Formats: sequence, structure tokens, C-alpha cells
Amino acid sequence: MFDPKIIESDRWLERVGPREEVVLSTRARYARNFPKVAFPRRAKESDLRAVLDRVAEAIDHCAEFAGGYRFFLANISELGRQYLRENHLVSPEMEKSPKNRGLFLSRDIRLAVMVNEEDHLRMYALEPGFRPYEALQEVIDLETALSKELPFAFSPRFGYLTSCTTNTGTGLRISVMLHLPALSISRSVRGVLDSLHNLGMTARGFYGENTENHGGFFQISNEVTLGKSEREIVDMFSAVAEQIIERERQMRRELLENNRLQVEDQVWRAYAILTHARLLSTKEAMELLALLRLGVDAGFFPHISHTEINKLAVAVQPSHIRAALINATGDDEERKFSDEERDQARAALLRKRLLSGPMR
Amino acid sequence: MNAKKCSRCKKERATVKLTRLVKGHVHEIWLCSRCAMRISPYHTPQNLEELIKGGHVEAVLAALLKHNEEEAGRQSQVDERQCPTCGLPLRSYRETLFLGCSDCYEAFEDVLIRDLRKYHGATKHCGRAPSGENAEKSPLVALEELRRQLEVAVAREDFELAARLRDEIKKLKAQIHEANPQQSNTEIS
Repeated sequence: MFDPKIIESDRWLERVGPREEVVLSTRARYARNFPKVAFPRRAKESDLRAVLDRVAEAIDHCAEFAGGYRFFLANISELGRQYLRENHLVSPEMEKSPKNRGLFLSRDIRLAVMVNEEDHLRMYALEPGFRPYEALQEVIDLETALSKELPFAFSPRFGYLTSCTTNTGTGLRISVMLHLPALSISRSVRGVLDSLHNLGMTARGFYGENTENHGGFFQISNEVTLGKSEREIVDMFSAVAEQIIERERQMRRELLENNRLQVEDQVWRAYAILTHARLLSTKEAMELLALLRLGVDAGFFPHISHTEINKLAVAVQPSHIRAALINATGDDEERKFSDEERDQARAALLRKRLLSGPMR
Repeated sequence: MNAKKCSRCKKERATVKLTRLVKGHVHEIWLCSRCAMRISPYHTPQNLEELIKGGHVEAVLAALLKHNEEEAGRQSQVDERQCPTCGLPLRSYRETLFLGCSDCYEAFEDVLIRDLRKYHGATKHCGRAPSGENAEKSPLVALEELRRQLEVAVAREDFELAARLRDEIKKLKAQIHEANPQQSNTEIS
């Protein structure tokens, strides 16, 4: 059986937020460290253990985490860690070397704390849709609560001291996951995203740095963390993100006005494959779901919600499919499946989920 | 195109641009390669050009070796620094961009200021601070804030506001200088 607690971490995808047709989610992150304790990359295992225990104790006293989840990653199977990574809740580094690393989630999966990633603590507020100010306020509240229990390394000149100088100062990273299919189709997406660097921002793929990008999903975030207040960082970020969102919406309108038949054709073909194919790879499924998402926004599929597609985009990932197969067969977590078995299970899952609603 | 003359010897054609930061202002000097060698600390050994022209191969090699040794000496002097708390060598930070502990910020402050300016365009924290340590009220932070406002005012061509801000900056600088003359020398240009 696959750990049901880990599956419950999917729930953060269920909430609905503003601008969901373009923005999947918003997250705000604070990086914090203990003073005079070696940063995780340089710390001894005993130091890391002490940090993990200290944070765990502080979180026990934190009302926001009452009834929440605590994962000591070393006690979780490789599959479980991959599953959490696919849910964007742990980083690839934490997945690969889990020793003395931890993840804490609030009951509603709105707040997360990663322990001993690049910094001792990385606190997150996760929000659906476009909610940068709400996410900022939540992460500030979380930091305020934890700072009553824990000392954080701070210098009046440099601000909060982080393992990498690219995070120094506020330690704040605000990011949104965007779906930009129209900008991608028109090939103007590169230009838009490349220009972000001049504004102190950056773009990445669906699963962070150096990841492949299927179907026009991009994560954009601020790069500058020093010399600006949290509010200024989020103001700047929001203004730029809103412009990108507006460009994408404009492009979608133009696409539908000028090439409606072609768009309809592509979207319905995607739907046809998703609801009838017997074998689907992750890449193909993601690309088709991206087209379907565009169709949902255009109103072709009133029975399918954006949230459902967001959930499917994660559910078709390799470890999610493996976990589902293990639960279906009752096998133990070590059971490996062939690519074909997984592609078959992925196709079956998509058929079931997309055809279960009322058809037009 | 009008060829620039060397600003030092005023004879040769200028081929090297030397950029210097003096009191916060960028100064560009155009030099011929010979003058550049004489005055730039980053340039190749003195007299090398003459030696090459004269065909003194051994002397050229010796001059180059000496130059390299001096360079290496300068480098290793920097590289040997370590954080007294965690023992991280500065060299390791330069290779990975990862620091070892919070005290590295003090140990490598001069290097970090340069890097932070490069990544963030700023070197001073303006955000939230732990309760009790209000970074917003630090005069250095206030100064940075005023400078930013001044930039905006100039960009908007609001010269009345700009003049007022300039006076405030002057006043604040004087206050900081009074309170901490040493710090103000290194940090305020």
C-alpha cells in the first residue's frame, strides 16, 4: 500500500483561485537560517539532525500546523519522496538525499516548511490562482509565528542571511505557475520570458530549474531579494505577472478570432486522444492536457474545470501513476512497473477522469 | 571615424579604455597600449612591448614569469581567507556561490558586497527585520531609500523634489559621518 498521508498532500491542488485560466498557483517563500550553525550543504549530520528536531518542536507549538503533516524524509520510501516532489512540495535535492531533511505541512496544505534544503528553513505559503499579496501575508504570518520559537540569522546591513547570496536580504521568493499556451503557439513566449531578467525576475519550467517544459507551463519568480522591501518586491512582481497574464489573454482572444476552426480542431483532437488512447506517455499527456486547458478556457468543455486539469497534470506524473498502480494491485511500494504498464495506466486514468462527468 | 588620441602621451592612437570608479562616478580614460601598460594595475608587465620589439626573448619570458608570479601571489593572498566560525575558504564560495554559515557574511563582507550588488543591484537590506531590530530605521537604509526616491524624481523631471531630496541626503550623510566616520568612508561614496 502507498502511504495515504502522502496522497493527501494532493489536496493543495483542489482550491480555486482568481485568474485560474492562466495562473495555476502562487507561492511565497521565505529562506531562514539559524545563526552560527553551518548551512545545510556544509553542516555535519549531527547539526542537521539538531536543526530538524528544533524545527519539529517549534512547529509543534505553532497553531497553524495543528493536525498537519510531518514527514522525516529519511523514513519515507523513494516513491513517496518522488510523489512529494511531483506535488512541488519537496525539491529534487531533498528527494535524492533525504537524510535529516523534513517537510511539514499545515492541515489544509496552505503552509509548508522544508527543513535542511539549501537553507535550514524554507517556509512556503501556497495559494491557488493569482494571489501574490495573500501568499505574502501568509508567509509573513508563518515567519512571525516561527520567529517566536526560533532565532533567525539576521544582519542589519544584509538582512536575513542565506546559504546562497542570490537569496540574501528578504529571503523572499514569490512565484506563479503560468499556463501560456497562446504565447507559446505564437512563439512570442521566449521574448517575453527573456525580458524578465532585466526586471529582476526569471522563468523556469513546470518542475523548476532546468526542467523540460511540455505544453506551455512556466514558473516565473523574482530574482532580486535585497534592497527592496517585501511589499516592493511583490508590487513589482505582480505588475509584471499581470502584464504577462494580459498578453496571454489577448493572444488567446486573437487566436480564437483569427483561427477559431484550427484551435477547435486541435483542442478536440487532444480531447479525443485523451479520452480514447490506450497508451500515453507523461510528455504526451501533458501536451494534450495543455491544449484541453485552452479549450476549457474557450468554453468548449463546460463539464471540465481548470482545477480538474491542474490535478490531472500532476496525477499523470510518473510516481503518481506508480502509486496509483500500487494501490490498485495491492503490491508493496518497491514494485516496479514497465513503461508500457505505466503508459497504459495513465491512459486509463485520463479516460476515467475525463469521461466521468456529464457529456455535452 | 575620428581616431582618439591617448590622453596620457597625447601622441599615440588610443586603443585601451580604462574605466575607474572615483567617488561614485565612472571615469573613462582612453590610452595607447604603451601608456595603458604603464598605469593600469591589470595590464601586462612593463616594458614588455619594448622587449619584444628588441627581440630579447629571454627577457620577455622572465618578465612574463615574474608577472604571473605576482598575479598568483595576489590571488592566493585572497584565497587563503577562511570563515573563522565554519572554516569555509573564500575560494570555495567563489566556486560554488554557497556560503558556509551566517558568520561568512562578516568574514567575506568585501567580496559579498560586490556580488550582492551584481545580483540585486543593491547591498543593503530594506525589508522586514526581527522584532526589536528595525532595519527600516537604520540611517544607511534611510539613505538608500532617499537615493532611490531621488532617482525617481530625476526620472520624472521633478527637480524641485530632487533638490529637496538631495539636501536631505546631504544632511543624512553628514549625520552618519559624525556617528561613525570609519564606516562612512568605506560605505558611502
